[in-house]
Amino acid sequence: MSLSGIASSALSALKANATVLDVISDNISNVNTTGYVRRTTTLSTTTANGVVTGVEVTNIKRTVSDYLDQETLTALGTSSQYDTENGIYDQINALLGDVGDGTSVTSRISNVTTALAQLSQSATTSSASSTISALKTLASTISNLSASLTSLQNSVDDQVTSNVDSVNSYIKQITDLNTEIQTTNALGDDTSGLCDQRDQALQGLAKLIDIQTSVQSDGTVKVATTDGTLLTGFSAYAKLTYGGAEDGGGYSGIDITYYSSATDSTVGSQVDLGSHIQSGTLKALLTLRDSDIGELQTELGSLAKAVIESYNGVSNNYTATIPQTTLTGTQTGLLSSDSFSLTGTTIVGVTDADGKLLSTITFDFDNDSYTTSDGASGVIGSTVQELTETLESASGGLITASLDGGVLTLSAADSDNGIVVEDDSDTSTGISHLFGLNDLFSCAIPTATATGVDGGDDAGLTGSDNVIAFSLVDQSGNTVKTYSVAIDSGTSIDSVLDQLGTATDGAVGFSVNDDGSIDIELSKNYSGCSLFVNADNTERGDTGVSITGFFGIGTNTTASYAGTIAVKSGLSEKTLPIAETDLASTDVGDTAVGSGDVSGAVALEGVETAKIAVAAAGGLNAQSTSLSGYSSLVYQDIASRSSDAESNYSTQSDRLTTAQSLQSSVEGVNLDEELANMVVYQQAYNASARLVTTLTDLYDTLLSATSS
Amino acid sequence: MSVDRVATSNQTTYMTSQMLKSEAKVAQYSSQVASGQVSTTYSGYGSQVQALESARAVVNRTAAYQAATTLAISQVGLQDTYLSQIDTAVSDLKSSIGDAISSGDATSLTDAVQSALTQIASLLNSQDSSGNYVFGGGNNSSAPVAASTLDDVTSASLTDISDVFTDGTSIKSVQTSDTQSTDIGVRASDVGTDILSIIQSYATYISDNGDFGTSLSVDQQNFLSTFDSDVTKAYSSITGIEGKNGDVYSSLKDASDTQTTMLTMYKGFVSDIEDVDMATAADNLTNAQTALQAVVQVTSTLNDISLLDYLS
Repeated sequence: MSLSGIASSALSALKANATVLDVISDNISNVNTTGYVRRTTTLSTTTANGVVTGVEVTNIKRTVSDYLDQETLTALGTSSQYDTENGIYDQINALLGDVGDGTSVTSRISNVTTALAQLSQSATTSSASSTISALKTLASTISNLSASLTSLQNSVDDQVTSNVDSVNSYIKQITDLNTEIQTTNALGDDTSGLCDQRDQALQGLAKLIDIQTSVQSDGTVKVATTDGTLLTGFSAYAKLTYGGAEDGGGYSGIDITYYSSATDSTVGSQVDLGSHIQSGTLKALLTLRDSDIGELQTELGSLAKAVIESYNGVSNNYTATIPQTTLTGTQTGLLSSDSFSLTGTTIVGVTDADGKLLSTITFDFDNDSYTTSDGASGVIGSTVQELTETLESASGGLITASLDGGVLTLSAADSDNGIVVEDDSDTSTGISHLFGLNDLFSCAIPTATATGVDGGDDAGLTGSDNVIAFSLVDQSGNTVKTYSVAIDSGTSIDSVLDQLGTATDGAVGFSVNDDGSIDIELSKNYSGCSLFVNADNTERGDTGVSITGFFGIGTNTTASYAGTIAVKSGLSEKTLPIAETDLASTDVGDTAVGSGDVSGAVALEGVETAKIAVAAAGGLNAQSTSLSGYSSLVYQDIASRSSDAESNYSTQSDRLTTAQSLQSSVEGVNLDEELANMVVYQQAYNASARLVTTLTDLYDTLLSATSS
Repeated sequence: MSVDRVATSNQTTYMTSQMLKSEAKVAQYSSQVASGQVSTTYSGYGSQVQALESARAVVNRTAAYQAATTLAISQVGLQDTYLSQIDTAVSDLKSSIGDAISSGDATSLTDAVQSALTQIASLLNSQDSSGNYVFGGGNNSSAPVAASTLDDVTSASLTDISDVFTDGTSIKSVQTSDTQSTDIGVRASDVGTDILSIIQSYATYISDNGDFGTSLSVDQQNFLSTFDSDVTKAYSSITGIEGKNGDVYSSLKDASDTQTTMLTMYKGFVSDIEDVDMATAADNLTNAQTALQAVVQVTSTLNDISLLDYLS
């Protein structure tokens, strides 16, 4: 070994140990840097002709575990998903108010019963006023809750838009870093800093959507959703586009367009990403928007329908204590040409200014005949127009009847007279019930699905722009199929339904039942799906009611009942239908209605607990329950979902903590370890330096020997 | 996977997250101890929400039934007061008839009949504190009895005694439970038709035959005998109605007692779900506080130990 060999070896050791100390200093400096992966060095001997000539740092490596990285990415996705769900459910719970604060729908129904109980014993204006106030509060509680849920749904959709932007931003970052890493790798330079940045971007992306990664030989990473939809890699990257809420309801899909990493030009066709997202914040937002909140809206709509029909079902057996000159019904969506389906009897009476009965018309719908107190009789007919005409003519000019925009109005010709309409309480399908003449609640569109119309009736569509667009949505809230059908005007209801069915190529069948309700049959491939109306610009005559609204088609149509439930316009202490009449036993000239009669209040008290049949809605199955029970069940569903979200979040949060701990145990910096290494390599550096000084001494000795 | 090293930064992060979790538990149990409730949100009750809401609805409903029943009891009590006064008026009339028959002097009988009619009509036209006619049968637009003098009941326009009654057909009722309602109303025509009909026959008799004097003819004696018998029957009918009213009063009292029992039971049911077991909550709070102290202690200890302190 020559002295120069010693010098060379000592210098290589100085250099190698300094490099190691440099790496240690990087590790120590970044001990608290998020996403920093510790570096380790590999030392190797340098040799010349098989003889050791020194030492060198052959590799500075980021200490990563692909398995733990992927587990962390997956845990980030699921944890973020349930974190988002939990947060939104916290907001929904806040909308419901505190438990026991008396603001729940169930409590509001109880308050109506309380007011009615008071009214039943104290027929005063203040008791009637309290009852109307309780009814209004019940309606506004439901409609406010619905409005708040809609607002929340819109807010969630806004978050979808911003999340899609964030996904695009992360994908672009990863793509750009991939390109940089590829270039740096080719030059043989250190890419660890770039890899740290890319890992950070991957973790950001994993919080939004589920991803799987695979590192390629050139250092780039291919990123795809867990079901394999490419997001970036192989010289292309995905860009997501989202159009937001669509006119008339529903939301556009999230589409992918692929671009070249090098040129940024389009290289691939669009695919819908929505159904490929399995977890992450975006998954939570889409599920909440399309499924959860939508289902809760439908449940609330179903509750609103139950409230409307239960209370109106009873109130139409009663009448105002003071007969009114004009009786106005609620929106039925019916046309004059429509058939009607009524059973039992209805007696229409006219009273004078003192409430004494002037005349009656008794309609016997089972026998299609009427008789009057004057002894006249005749046939009623089968259409709404025939019914109103019969009523007018049989009254001998005392009553005018008109159906205007789907709303029936009965007016006494003499403004001093009043009108009383008494349905047979056993059947609940008389004139008052059908047209809502003594309703307590109303809704923008009719809630009664048994419309009474016949399939052969004119659908009432005019003009050329009659389009119904609807989707089939599976149980996860994913849109399976969308149809847009242009309907011919001037055709029958059967024809309209046939056109809808034909457009779906047999996927959906529509038919009118005997009671005028509609039957929707889904083919085997779509069983379990629900129908969502995206847009419907049809209108039945001048009613403002669409075909889908008239028949209650679509889960969002059901949901809309909650948004517009209100106490019937014009309901006052004077018009509150709580008096019982017995026109069949009342002679002409006798008082028709007891001015202090509050029998209806006792009957309406029973609405809260009466058994009702409720169709399946949202997450609730079809069932027979009470109004109060169903209302509690809707709250139960929200509470259970919230509780599940909280529990899932807790589990996934623990999973993430574990994954991150394990990942950092491999990849993170331990200060004590670095300090220990620092001491070791400092000693090695010192020893190498000592070699150099020793070598200097050797040279000095040698030089002094040769010079003497 | 075994862990043989830990990252310094993550160790702190992990300990901090554990501290936060412990603090959240302390906050949760503190809230339970302070409020006495398991939770203030619906999600906090999970699958018990329906039972809780339904039980609370039963409590509210039963309270409503009880409030209405209390009003009904006072209404029935009011009816009882007036019915017993009518009973007395008829009883007095009966005594007057008996006196007239036994003494043979009926000169003051017509005044007694007139007085009875006035009293009965006035009592049947009584109004409650809200201005509603107690025996109105749901009709408040006019007093239920439109006759107060003997002339009124013999008026030519009167075709039948029922014409003097303008009460409604409705029998007031009260809902006492989800499934039961009790009829409480008594109509003026139900109480007064018999007695007014008899008084009408008396008025018609004296109108046709002249008033009674100090000595009674055989025909007059026969008439008064029948009159006495009819008034006795009418009296019996009124006491029958009075008795039924008393039964209703008693059944409403029973219903109110049942409602009190129901209220206690369902309030207890709500409390079982909603109210926290204070001993358990206090115990949980103590445990959570101890856990938090432990986490803080461990974190502090870990932060105090570093190789740095031993390097010079």
